[in-house]
Amino acid sequence: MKPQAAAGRDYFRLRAEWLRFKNNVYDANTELPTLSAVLDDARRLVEDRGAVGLVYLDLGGDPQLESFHGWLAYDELLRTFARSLGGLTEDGLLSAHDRVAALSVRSDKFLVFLGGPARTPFDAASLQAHVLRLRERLQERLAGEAPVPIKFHDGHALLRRDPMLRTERLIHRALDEAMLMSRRRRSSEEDRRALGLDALIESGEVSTFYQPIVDLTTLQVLGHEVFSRGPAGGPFEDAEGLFALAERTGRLVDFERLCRSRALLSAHRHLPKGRKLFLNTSARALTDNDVAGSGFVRLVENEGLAHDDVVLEINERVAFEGRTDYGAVLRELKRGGFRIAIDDMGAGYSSLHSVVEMEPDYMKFDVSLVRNIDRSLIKRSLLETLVELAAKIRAEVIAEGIEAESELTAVRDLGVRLGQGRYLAAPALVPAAAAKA
Amino acid sequence: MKRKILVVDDEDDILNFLELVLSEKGYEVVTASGGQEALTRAQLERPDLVLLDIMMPQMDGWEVLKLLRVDEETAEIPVAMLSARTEARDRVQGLQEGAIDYICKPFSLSELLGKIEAIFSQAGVSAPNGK
Repeated sequence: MKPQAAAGRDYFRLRAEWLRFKNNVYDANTELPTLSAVLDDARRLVEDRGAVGLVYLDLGGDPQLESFHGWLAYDELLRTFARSLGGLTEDGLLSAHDRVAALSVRSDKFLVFLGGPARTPFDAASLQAHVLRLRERLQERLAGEAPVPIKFHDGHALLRRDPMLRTERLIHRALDEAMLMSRRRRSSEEDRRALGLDALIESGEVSTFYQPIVDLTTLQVLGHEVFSRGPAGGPFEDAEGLFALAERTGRLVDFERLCRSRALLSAHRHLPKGRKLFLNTSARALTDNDVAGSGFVRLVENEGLAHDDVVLEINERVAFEGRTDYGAVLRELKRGGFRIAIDDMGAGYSSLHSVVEMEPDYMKFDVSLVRNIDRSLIKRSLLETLVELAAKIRAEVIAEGIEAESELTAVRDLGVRLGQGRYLAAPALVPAAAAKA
Repeated sequence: MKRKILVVDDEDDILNFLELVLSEKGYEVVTASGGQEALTRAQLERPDLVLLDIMMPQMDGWEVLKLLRVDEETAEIPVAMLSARTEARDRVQGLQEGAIDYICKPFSLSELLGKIEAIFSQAGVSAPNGK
């Protein structure tokens, strides 16, 4: 009776189940299956071919990429990568039985299972040669497609069918091996870069840039955020990457000390009286004498700067970690008349409670919150809430990364008084000669 | 929410023992019997803590720690090094490399659990599993 209705119910139940399943085994962004979804295919491939190549591709080479370009741009970058990877079929480097997968949902790591040429199964040498061609072609395709250079690291492993071992076990071993190869390459590249950073710290070749922070209504300049960069055109020009590398390789405090003294040495020559100087300060450096302690206070005074014109920008994550020793340092600085700004708010680490406890003078809203805010209801309501909170604790708000008039109008309409970004003024180099003198 | 701990040791006895007692204490336990496997597990499982043996064949705990730090997705996972060696030198090296704690073998169960609790309460306000 009523078989159609029953079939209909079945259909909807199955469809709901399928969608749930699909969300776990497919990466919606790149439309690639995840490892668990291709495991069966990979197993069959090993059993058919006897030997299969596994390639591991890791896009995580640039940890600051996401925070720099925002997650929307990062998703687009992952899609471009997946598309280029798929395009290798046209180059004859992937065949119909080969499988491309994302390591997991929302991962920036990808896998390729290669069946190899039909008649002669892969051996170590032929796999390596194939991977080399694949890597080169992929780099070419990426260079053609992406507006920014996309770097990746790779590793590979050969899986040989073994009657004594379950194929699934073989696949996992190969994954361990391929991932290790890729990580080791990343690590040794990082070691090389770290040596370069040592040389940079030794030579002191950092330049200081000022980016104005502007009153959005009167367009008057309140102060400047200070950026430090390595020599132009070199591998250390990108400031974000530089700090990330310094942090990962344990050189952050040394590097920050250098940037800090450079920033303060040039300050009084370039700052009209009353302009504020916003100095980025990492959590780790906060307990360093020259970056935030008595050495720092002496530097500020030697340069003739007033304490209350110096604003220490603390990353939101520091507030989040809520470490008591940081709190003590900040309170001490505030007692000494210095100002505190919470940086990168809205980047996803918010613990409003700990932010409030730090009693900041300024709250700076992250680029990712400001980007296209005129087109996002969610971002607008988030910013609105933060502006309200700031008013309650009497903190001034600053919107970072304003790049378009529409963004400027939107944040101003939401009650943000101060802003910074390329639309207002790009960071400008502080002349090195004057900085040294 | 259950905290997830990745235990890395080449000795099966220790691995089994720790898996047993830690899951009894309400932690979710993932194990790896070597460095290579540990990296994959850490990447796929995103544990809240790694208990990492230093003396392992093929790849020692220091290299595992270094390679964990290379990728931002695993870089911020707290790591506690387990070792039979007690020299102060090890302790210093561990802290410089960013290990959060150092537990000397043989450890008592209560000492181990106390350290784990302490690590979690210190990291308590930070987001579980990163972002």
